[in-house]
Amino acid sequence: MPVVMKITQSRINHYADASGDFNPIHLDEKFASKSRFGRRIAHGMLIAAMISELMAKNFSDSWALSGKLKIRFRAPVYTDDTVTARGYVKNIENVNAQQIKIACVVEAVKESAGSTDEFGDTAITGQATVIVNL
Amino acid sequence: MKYSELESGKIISSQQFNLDKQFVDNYVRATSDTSSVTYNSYAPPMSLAALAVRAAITDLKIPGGTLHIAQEVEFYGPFRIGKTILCSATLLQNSLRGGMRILVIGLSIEDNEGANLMSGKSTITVPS
Repeated sequence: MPVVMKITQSRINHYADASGDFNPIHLDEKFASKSRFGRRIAHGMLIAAMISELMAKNFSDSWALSGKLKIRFRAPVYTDDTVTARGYVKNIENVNAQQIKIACVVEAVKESAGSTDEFGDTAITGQATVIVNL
Repeated sequence: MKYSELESGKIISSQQFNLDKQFVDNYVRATSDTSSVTYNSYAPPMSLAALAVRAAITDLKIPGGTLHIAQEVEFYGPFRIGKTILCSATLLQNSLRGGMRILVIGLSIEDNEGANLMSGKSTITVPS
């Protein structure tokens, strides 16, 4: 069950308001045009939220109770890119008679609305684990 | 702020927030993360991480052009709306690589009864 979202500038602006992260690289076109990316980029944590949503949708409230996430931000997501967060189960182990620990490989991949860049399409890679009651 | 002078172990932030409905509504509006099973009572897990990062970057006064390169989080929820939470950040590593200053920041969130709600680690590069 992947999570797909178009990252509009309006969404980035809302995230800045909600998170209090007003770094101009996300918001100021002129500032961003002089950066190595050449245009505005989404907050990494906005894209990370999609991974968290993916885990919560698949593992319900176990994610909030016991979730663990380790990710790297590998490529920028630009305004109007469409991002898909997805993952697969890599390992399952018993914690005790009532619980199992599920380890997943997760990633967020973008489809660029504009020109491509040298950073590639994989915005986030990482691992997530969650303990689930049987 | 002279980032080169920040020493590992330094507490860089300690901020209190109210995990209120308005914050959660704004967060959900931005992320569309309505996955919290009982959304009217609980906040999405990653919204707490957003608050922890907010506290750290605000108190560090990070300059424009700072980039977030890695994140770790561990949740010990649930995260009931209305709780007062304390976000703390400690500098874990401070290094220079390829002309970029790399800061690794340890994050933790406790509620007002001292229960641990989240821990994590942010790695950012600050233009030097």
